[in-house]
Amino acid sequence: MIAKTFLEVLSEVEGKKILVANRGISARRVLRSIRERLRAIPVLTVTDGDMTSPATAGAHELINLGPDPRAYLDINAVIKKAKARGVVAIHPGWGFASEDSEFPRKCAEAGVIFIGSSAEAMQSLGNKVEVRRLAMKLGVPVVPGSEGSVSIPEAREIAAKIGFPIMLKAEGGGGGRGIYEIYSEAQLESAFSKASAMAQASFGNPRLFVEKLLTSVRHIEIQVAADKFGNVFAFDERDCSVQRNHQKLVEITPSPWRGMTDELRQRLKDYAERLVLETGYYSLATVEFLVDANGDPYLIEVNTRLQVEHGITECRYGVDLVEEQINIAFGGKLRFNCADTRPFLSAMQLRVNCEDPKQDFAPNAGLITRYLSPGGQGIRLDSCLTAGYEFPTQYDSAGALLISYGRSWPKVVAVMERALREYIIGGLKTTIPFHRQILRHPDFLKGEFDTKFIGQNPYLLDYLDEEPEALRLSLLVSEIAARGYNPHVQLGKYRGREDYRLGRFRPHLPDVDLRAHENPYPRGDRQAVLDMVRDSGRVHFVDTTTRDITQSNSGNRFRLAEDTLVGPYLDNCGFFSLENGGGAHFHVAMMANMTYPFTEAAEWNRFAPKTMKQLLIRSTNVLGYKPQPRNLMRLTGEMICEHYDIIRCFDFLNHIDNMYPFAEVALSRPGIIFEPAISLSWAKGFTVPHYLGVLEAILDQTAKAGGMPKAKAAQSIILCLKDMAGMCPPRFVAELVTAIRKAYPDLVIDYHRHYTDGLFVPAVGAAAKAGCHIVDTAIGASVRWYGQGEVLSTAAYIEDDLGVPVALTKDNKEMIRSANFVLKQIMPYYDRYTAPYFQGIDYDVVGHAMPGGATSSSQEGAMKQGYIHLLPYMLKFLAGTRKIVRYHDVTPGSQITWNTAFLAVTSAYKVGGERAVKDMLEVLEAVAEIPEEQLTQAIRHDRLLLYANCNDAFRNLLLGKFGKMPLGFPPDWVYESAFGVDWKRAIASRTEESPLDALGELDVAAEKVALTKQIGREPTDEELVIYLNHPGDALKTIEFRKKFGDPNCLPLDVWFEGLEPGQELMFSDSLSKPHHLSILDISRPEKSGTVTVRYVLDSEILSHQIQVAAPQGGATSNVEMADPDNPYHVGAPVSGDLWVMHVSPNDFIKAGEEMFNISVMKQEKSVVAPMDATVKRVLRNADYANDRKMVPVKEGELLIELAPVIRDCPVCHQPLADDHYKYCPNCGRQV
Amino acid sequence: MLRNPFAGGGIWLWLSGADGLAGPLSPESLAASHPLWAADMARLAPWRKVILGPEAGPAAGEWCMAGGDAGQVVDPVLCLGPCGSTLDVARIFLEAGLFPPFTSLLTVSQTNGRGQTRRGWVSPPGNLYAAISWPTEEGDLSAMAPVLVGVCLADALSARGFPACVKWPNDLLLTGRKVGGILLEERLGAVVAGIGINLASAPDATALRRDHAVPAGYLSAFAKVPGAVTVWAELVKSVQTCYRLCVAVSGSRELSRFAERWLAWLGREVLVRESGSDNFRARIVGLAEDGGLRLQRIDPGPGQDLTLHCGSISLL
Repeated sequence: MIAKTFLEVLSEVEGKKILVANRGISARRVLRSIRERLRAIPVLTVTDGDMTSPATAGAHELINLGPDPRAYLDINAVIKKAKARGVVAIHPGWGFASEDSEFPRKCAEAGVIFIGSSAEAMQSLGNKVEVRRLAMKLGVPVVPGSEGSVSIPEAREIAAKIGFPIMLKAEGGGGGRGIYEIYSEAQLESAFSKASAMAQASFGNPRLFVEKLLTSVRHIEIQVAADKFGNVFAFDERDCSVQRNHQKLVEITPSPWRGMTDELRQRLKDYAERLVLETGYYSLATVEFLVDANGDPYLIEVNTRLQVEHGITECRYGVDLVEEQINIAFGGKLRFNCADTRPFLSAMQLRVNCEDPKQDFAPNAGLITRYLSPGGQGIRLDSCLTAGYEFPTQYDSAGALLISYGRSWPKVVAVMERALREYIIGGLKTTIPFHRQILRHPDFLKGEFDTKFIGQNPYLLDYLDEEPEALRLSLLVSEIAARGYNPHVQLGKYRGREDYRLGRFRPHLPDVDLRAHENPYPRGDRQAVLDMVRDSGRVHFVDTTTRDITQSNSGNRFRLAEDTLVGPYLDNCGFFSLENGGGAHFHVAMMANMTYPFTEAAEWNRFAPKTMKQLLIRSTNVLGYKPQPRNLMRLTGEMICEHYDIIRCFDFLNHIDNMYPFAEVALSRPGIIFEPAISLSWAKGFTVPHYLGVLEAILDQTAKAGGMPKAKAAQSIILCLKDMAGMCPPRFVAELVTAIRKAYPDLVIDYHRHYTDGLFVPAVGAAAKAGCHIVDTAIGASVRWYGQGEVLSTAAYIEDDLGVPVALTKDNKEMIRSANFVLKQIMPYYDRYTAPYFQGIDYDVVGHAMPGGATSSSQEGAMKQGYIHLLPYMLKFLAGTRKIVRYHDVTPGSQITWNTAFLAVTSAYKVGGERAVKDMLEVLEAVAEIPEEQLTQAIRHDRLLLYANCNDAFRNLLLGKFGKMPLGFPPDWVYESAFGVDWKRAIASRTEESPLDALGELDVAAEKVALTKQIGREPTDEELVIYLNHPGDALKTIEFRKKFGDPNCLPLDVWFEGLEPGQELMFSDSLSKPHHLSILDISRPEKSGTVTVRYVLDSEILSHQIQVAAPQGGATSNVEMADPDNPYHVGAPVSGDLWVMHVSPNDFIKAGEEMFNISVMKQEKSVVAPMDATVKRVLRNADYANDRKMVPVKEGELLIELAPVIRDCPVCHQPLADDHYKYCPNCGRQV
Repeated sequence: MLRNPFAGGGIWLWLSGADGLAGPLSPESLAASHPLWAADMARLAPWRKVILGPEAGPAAGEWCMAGGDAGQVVDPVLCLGPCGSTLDVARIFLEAGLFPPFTSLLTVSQTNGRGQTRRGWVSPPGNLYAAISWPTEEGDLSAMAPVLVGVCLADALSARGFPACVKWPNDLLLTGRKVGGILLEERLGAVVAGIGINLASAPDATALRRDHAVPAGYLSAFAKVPGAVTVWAELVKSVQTCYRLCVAVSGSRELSRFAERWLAWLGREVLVRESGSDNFRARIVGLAEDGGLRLQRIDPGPGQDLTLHCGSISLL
C-alpha cells in the first residue's frame, strides 16, 4: 500500500458519511473536523435522551439508538445502523466504546473504516499488563510492581520487595478508577478482598495487580501520532497533575514545572515513539508517565484513542489532531514532522463540569437557565451546553472544555482567569468558581503542584458561589412584581397587584453644605461629653427617628437605604446623639430587611460620621427575647462598642444585677458612655422614693463595675428615665427629676418617653424644667403615636414657654427642617406598607399601661382570633392585674401581661359569655381595691379563677425566673390561682437571684461549628454574633443575602411593590456598577399558581417563574371534582394520601360507617357514610396494608359516588342495590 | 347526653374494666406490672372506690380515684387495664360524651397498639400509651393540629428536663432518637390523639420497620422518670398551657414561627419520601401556616420551594 497524500484523502472523503459514535463534547469536537476541511457528511448517534443535545446541531444526520442511555456501548447495533445509512467511517470519540478493541475488528468485518488503530495494536498498547511487559523489554522505565495480576500471597511478597506504600490496581480499570492505596501490611488483606470485589463489580474483572505507590508525582503525558507507514511524531508533554480522585481537572502544555527539562522531555518523547513503533500502532495515542520529584519517569499506561485534553496540544502546535486521525485512517501519510510541526504557544485546559464542588463534586443535572460563553483572543471553547438545555442526569458531568493559549504561561493564566469571569452558566452548579480558586493559588502559578494538590488544599473549596448581584436582585424584583407586594415584609395580605400604587420614589434631596457644620460634642471622651452637657445649662436632644419610632413593624422599620438618604442631614442637626440601633430594630433588620445590623451600624458611621450613635439593649435579653448567658452578653457587648458611643440598657423588672456584664464592658472603654435606665410606670407603689432606691442600685453597680467610688459613678454615666408606656403625668416626672437632681447634682439625666397618653410635650417640658439634661425626640415627619414627640415643637415649648435654654442653634433648626423635608418624601411609602391597625392616642394607657407597639399587635391578635369585642375587657383586665402583680410594662413584660389578659378573658368568655367576663372583672376589681381582710368568702374563692388559665411565662415571672419583682412577690392567692394544687411548692421555689446565675456559659466554639455546617462556610464575626442572638432570623438573613444580594440597592417603591410592566429601573449594585432593569410582561397566575415575569436585565432577556398562589384543585384537569351540592358525592375532605378504601361498587353502607381514610401529616381522617346508601362508583382505590401504596388525592376530588337505597329486602331488611333484583343478594330470598 | 362522671377531674383506675374494651386491674396489679407503675401507685394512694352505674354508658363499672394530693388534676386521666388500643376506647367514650377536650386515657399495655396506617406499635408494660381528646378549632389551628400535638408535647417534655424536639410532622425525638409517636384520628369532626412515649424501653432495631428514619430511644435512658401516670398528668397540664399559648399567639404566621422552635433538623438536608412522586433531597426551611413542612429542593430540581403535607423525611 502506498501512502496517500492529504489531497487524495480529501477527494476520497468529500461527500461521504462519517459517523461519530459518541455524544456530548466529544461528538461536537469530532463533528467539527469532519465538516471543516474534509467536507464529509457528519453523522451522529443519539439516544432518545440526547435528541436535544447541542451536539446534534453539528451533525447533518442523526442515527437514533433508542431509549437506552447506554446504547452508545452497543457496537453491533451502531455498526449495523451505520452500514444501513451508508456510513464509510466511524469515529469513536473518547469514552464509551473508544478503547474497545472489538470495535475496529467489527468495523473491519463490516467493511467500515474505524478511525483509530488496529485491534491488535490497541490490545498490545491498551492492556496495562501487556504494555508493561513491552516497556520493560524496550527499556522504558515502569513503576515497580507485579508482572500481571496477583494473588494475596504474591501481593504480599512483592510488597515486601518494593516496600509500602503500594497500589492495588484493577486490571480492567482506567481513567483513575479502580485504584486502591495501601500504606501498611496490616491493611493489605482486607483491602485486597474489597478491591477485588469492587473491581468485579465495576469492570467485570476481579483481577488486581500491584504497583509501588509513588509520592509527590506529576502526571505527564506525551501525545503521539503515527501513520500506517511507520511515521511517528511525538508532541511536547501535557501536564495533567491537577487531579481529584485521579480525575483530571486542569491540563497544561508545556508543563510549567521547573523540573521539566528539555532532556527529560526528549526522553519521554523517545520512550513514547519506541512503544508505538514496536507495536505498529497507528492513529493517535497518548503515553502517560508519572514523574517523581527527582525527575524520574515511570510509564503508567497508554491511551489508544483521542483524549479529552488533546485540544491544548492542538493550540500549542496549531494543528488539528482529529483531521489528522481521519487522514491516517483513510491511509494518508502523517503530515507532522520535526521540520514543519513546531510548538509556538502555551495552553491550558480546564474541565468545566456540572458538579457542585462544595457538595463533594456531586453531579448537578438540570435546566441551564442562563448561558454566556467567554470569547476573545486566546480562548477556545469546546462545550456541549446552551441556555434552555436540560443537562441530562444519565451521563457524566462534563459540560465544557475551556482552553486558553498564549505565548507564555503567565499570559495563559491571565487569559483564563478573565475567561472564567466571563463564563456564565446559570441554573446549576459548575466547577467554574473552583477553577478560579485554583488559578489564584500561588503554588499553582509557580508550577509547584503534584497529583495531591487538590486534596492537600481543601480551602480551595472555601469560596462564595453566587450569581452576579444584579441578577439576584432582579429575581427579588420580579418576585415582588409578580405579587404586587414584598413577601419578605410579611404584610402581603393587605395588598396585591391590583392596588393603586404610590408611584416611583424619586426623592428630592435639599442642597446643603454638610461640611459647614461641626458637631459640638467631644465624641470619644466619656468624661468630657458628660462634663460638657452638665455644665452647658441647656437641654440637649437625642434623635430617635431611625430607631424607636420606626422599628418594630416589619413594614415601617427604616431600611439602610433610607437611613443613607436622611442620615447625613441628621448628622448635622447638632443632636446629642442619634439613636439608630437596638431593641426590635436589631432583629427586624434581619427578619424583614435582609440587612446585617452591625454592618448597618458601620455604614451609619460612614455616612453620618460626626454625631454620637446610641443603641438600646434589654439587659439579660441583650438584643433578643430570652435571657442570654453572660459570655454571649459580653461578646455582643464588645461588638456593640465597635459601632456605638452610648449604650442604653433597661430591665423590665429594674433588677439592676441583670445589666452587670454590660456595665463592665461599657465602663472599661473610656470613649463609651453607659446609660442604665430606670423603667418607669406610674402606679401605686412606684413612688419617687422607690425609684430613688433603684437609682442607688444602679450607682452601686456602676461603682463596682467601673472600680470607682459612688460619687464618681454618678458623674460617669447618663441615667435614663424610660417611660416606655408613655403614661407618667408631667407632675410626677417633675417630682422625680427634682428629687434625683437633689440627691445627685452631678448625675446627667435623659428623659425618654412615648407619646401614648398624648402628654408628651408637657411631660418632657416638666422634666426639662426640673433639671433634666437630655430629652429624646424625633423629626416631625416620622412622629407617630407609638414613638417620641416632635423635636422643634418640644424645643419651642421648653425654650419659649418654660424659659429653659436648649442646645439647638438656629442653624441646627434649619437643618432639622431639611431632614424633615427628606422624611416627608420617605414616610408616605412606609405608612402605606405598615400593618393597618390602631395608630392613635390612648389616654387609657394610664390604666392598662400597654406600651406603644404592643397595642397595635394585640388588637391585631384579638381581631384575628375573633375576639375583638373582648378587647376592652382585656385592657380592663390588664389595668386590674397591674395592681396585683406589679412590674413594668416593657418588653418582655408587656407580652406576658397581654397573654395573661387574653387567656383569662377568652377562657371566661368560652365558659359563660360576656356575663362571665364581666363577673370576672368585678372580682378582679374587688381584689385590687378592697383590703384583704374585708373580702367576702365568695370573692376569695372566685379570685382563684383569675390566673387559672395563665401561661408558663406568667408562672415563670411569679417564680422570679426573669429576675426580682420590683415591689416584691404578689400575694399567695395569686400563686394558688396560677399553679393550682402545686401552689405551695411554687412559692417555696421562688427566687430573687438574677437569671444570669442559672444560665451558665454558652459554648461559642460549638455554636460556630454548627453555624458553619448550616451555611456551608466559615461565618463572619458578625454573622456569629447575630446567630447567637437570633438563630432563626440570622440564618434567614444569611440565606436571603446569598439568594438576593443587598436589597438596599433597590429604591423604596421597588422594595415594597416591585415594578409594573413597562417600567424601567436603573440601580447600582454593591460594587457601584450601574444596571438597567425593565419588566416586559407579568403573566396572569396559571392554574399551577405560578406567574411568569419576563424582564430585561442589562440587555439580556430573562424570565422567572414565581409561585404566587397554591395550585388550584383542578390543576390536573382529568380529576373529577365532587359537587358540593350533591349529597351523594363524597369528595376528599383535604388534599392528602388516600391509604385505605373500604368500599366497592354495589356495597351497602350504613350512615356513620367508615368509607375511606386519608392521611395528612400523620392525621388520619376517617370519612364516614353520610346516610344509608348504595355505593355507585368508587373512583380511587387504596390498600396500603397490602401493597404499601398511598394514593395522593386533591381536596374536593370525587372519590365515591353514592346512590339512594331504593328498597329493603323484606326478609333480612338489607337494602337492595337495584330495583331489578329478584333475589336478595344478602339472604337469597326472593323479593 | 349522659352526665359525665369524670367532669371534676382526677386520676381514675377502671377496676372492673369492660368486655371488649379493657381488662380488669387494681392498684396492686398495676404496681406489679412495672416499677414505674409501682412508683405511681404509691404516690397516688390512698384510693377511693367509686361505682358507676349504667347511666355512665360504656364507662359503667367499678372505678377508683386517687385520693392523695398528687391525684388532684383538673383534666381527668383514666387508667385502663390491658386493652386493644387506647384510640378505640377513647372513640367509644367520646361518642358517649365522656371525653371532652384534654380528657385522656392511659393504659398499661396494648394488644393492638397502632401507628400510622395501622402499623403496629409495640406496647409492653412500662411505657406510656395514651389517648387524649384534642380541641377542635377552625382554620390553621385545626390544620396544624398534628404538628401542634407534637410541639405541645415536646414543650412539655422540655419543661420536665427532657429536651425533646419534633420530627415533622410529630415524632418526638430526644438526642436524635425517636422516643414517642403520635397518631391523630379524626372522625365526624372530633379529633383524638393517640400518643405513645417510650419511658422504660424501646423496641430494638430489628422490630422497627425497615425504612425507619431514626433509631428508637426511651426517656429513662436520659434521666429519671417518676412514673407513667405522674409523667402523663404533668404532660397533660403543660400541653394544655402550651396549646392555650398557641391559641393566644396572634395570627397563623406567628403560630408557625412559634411551632418552628421545636422542629428538628431545621436547616438540615433530608431525604423526602412523598407518595406519588420520586424521593428527593431537600433542605428544611420551616413550617407553613397550615403546618406543612416548608422545603427547598436540592436534588432533583434544586432551589424550588415547596410545602410537604404528606410524606416522610429522614436524614441522609
